[in-house]
Amino acid sequence: MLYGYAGKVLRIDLTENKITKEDLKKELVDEYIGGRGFVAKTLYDELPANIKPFDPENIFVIAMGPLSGTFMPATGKTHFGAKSPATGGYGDSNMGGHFGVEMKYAGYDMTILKGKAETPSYILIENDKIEVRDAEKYWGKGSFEVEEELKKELGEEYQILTIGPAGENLVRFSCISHDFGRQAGRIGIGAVLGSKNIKAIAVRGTKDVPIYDPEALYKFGKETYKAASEKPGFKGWTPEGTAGITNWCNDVGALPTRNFKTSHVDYADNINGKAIIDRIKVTDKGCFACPTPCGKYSHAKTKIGSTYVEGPEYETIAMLGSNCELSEIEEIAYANFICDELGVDTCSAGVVASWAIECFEKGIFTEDDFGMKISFGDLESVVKILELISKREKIGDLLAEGVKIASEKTKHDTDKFAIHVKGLEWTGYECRNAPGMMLGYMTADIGAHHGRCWVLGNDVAGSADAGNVHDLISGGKKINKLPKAKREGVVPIVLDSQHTRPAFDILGTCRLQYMEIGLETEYYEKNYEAITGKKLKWKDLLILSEKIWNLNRCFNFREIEDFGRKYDYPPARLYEDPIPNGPNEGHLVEKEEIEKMLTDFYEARGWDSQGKPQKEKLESLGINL
Amino acid sequence: MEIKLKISNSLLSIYNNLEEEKTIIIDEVKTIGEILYIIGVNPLLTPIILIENKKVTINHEVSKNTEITLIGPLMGG
Repeated sequence: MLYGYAGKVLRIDLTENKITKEDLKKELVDEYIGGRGFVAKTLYDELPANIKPFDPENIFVIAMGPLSGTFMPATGKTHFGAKSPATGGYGDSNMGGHFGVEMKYAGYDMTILKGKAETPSYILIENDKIEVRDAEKYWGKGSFEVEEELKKELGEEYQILTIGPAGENLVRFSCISHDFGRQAGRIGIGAVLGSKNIKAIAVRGTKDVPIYDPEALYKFGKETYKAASEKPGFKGWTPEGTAGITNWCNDVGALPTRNFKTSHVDYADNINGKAIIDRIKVTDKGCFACPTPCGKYSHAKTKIGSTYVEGPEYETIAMLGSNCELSEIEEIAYANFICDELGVDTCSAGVVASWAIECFEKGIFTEDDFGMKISFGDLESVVKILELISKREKIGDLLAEGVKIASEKTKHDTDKFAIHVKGLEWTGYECRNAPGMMLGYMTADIGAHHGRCWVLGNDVAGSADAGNVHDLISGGKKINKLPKAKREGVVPIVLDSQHTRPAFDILGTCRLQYMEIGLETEYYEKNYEAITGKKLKWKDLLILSEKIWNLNRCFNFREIEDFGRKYDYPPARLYEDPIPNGPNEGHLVEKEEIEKMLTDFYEARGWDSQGKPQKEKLESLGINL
Repeated sequence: MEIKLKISNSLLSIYNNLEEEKTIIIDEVKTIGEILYIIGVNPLLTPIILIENKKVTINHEVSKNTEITLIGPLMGG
């Protein structure tokens, strides 16, 4: 028996309408443990080579880890994977909430969809009963609307994921929504479901998951909660959630502003965590078994409408807020809701919208393209762009391709300010004075995503060590200008972050309790042993992380024609245009420094000058392709 | 005055020489910024500073025995 696992893999061939269940393979569990490990291995092994992301043969994977759905706090993560519509390479995305837990209780550690349903459909999973049902009446409707209607049809106890109109229309940055506000936002994962004619998946599970030592798990689970609750970060984290760092990012000149033209605004107090609490928050909202509910359920009124919405999170504040110059928290919350309902990732949407507005300002796009004049700082403009994208109407058809493809088709050197890596749009951290963070974005397997590596604090520490710390402190004044951050020494910090973060995705937990709260790794080891009956050393988990990084790099070399070093560069704006104002005025990371960082990074990883993993490295990690 | 500092993991991951709790004695009123300087922490790296679960700034003056929680840079979601 595989303790800690439901024990089954569910396969649904939508073209053949064939449903099969097979035992979860012990070899897969032993080698890749769960979650993101299962996704990476399954995509590499099972995806037919060189198919397109929207080809029916693309597979859509749902996977949970051994800790998912247990007494261990914050074990509500669900992982999804597919060939990425954003990059054409490896893709995964995860979300909190309760969906994956319910899938595990229904009996499935992993679900693999392939093929394409003949007509719009949704999948119903009730323990052993699996049905592909007609969803014609839901097609074209918003994510929340469908979730609400399905709950009325099936029952409140069902956990539901949906896609919006954007996913149906194959927008390359469309997302999956769940629990009225949780999203698997990145890589265009929602469009993969849309390409398969799947509008939603509803699950209800009532089975047990075998636990090796339930008494020990109960004891360790309580100890873990107690330890977390006594940590310094425990009480400080929850009140504002991720929005609590908005002012900090602004003060250190890392808040993307006006399509990454600059990195600092004078209205941060209108869009920060305190503004959420004072002006729009209704209540806190958490995921499964979470002791630190960072979600903020809000109600926002604007001149064009009012809405309830979960959020906004920091990334949304940065990308739809400062990056599009929406300067009031209510406006950002409203744009957040529009994204959620239409089913687009707020991060990519913010980059695409700001790129479109800049193109309009430069006269490359016209009023006819949008049906109205558009501008930064205008909520109606942002909403209009989002609606056009989700319907693929007018210029929206081009923008729905994401900024990489859109800029290649538009020409006029618009690729210089198309802010992405590999085709995935950048997220909430401007990096022209943060070389470590920039390297993390550049080398992430799925494209520019902060969740793969987050070392901005180390960059700021490196910057501050160089100069004026004493003045800053003794003067107690606002920061006027930061010294240039150091490039030297960033590679080991980036590698450490890149290897630590997947550990939680593999186990099936949220990483915030470790990263932000400070829960020691021994708690993960103890709970893992109680759940599975197997010992786990944290250092071995980090080696598995490295293995997955290498496997995914090999996937990208296999699947993307001419893949190599050039795919790891940031957009030219970030190495050609110094930041024009704010704390980092005048700074950038020169191209020469980018080349040096990449060379050092590849060398440290055991990759060649194009970033291709070498045979010796792969063999040392037990990867035999 | 006894100042007890509780330091979050996100800050400890940057300052390897610090521990989760640190106590210092000061003999006059000092700002949080000055206290940070004493323990060698850059105020740029403390986006959230809490006293009795309430956020304060680096200009806040400490004039009695106090427990200060320092939370380092956190990633958004």
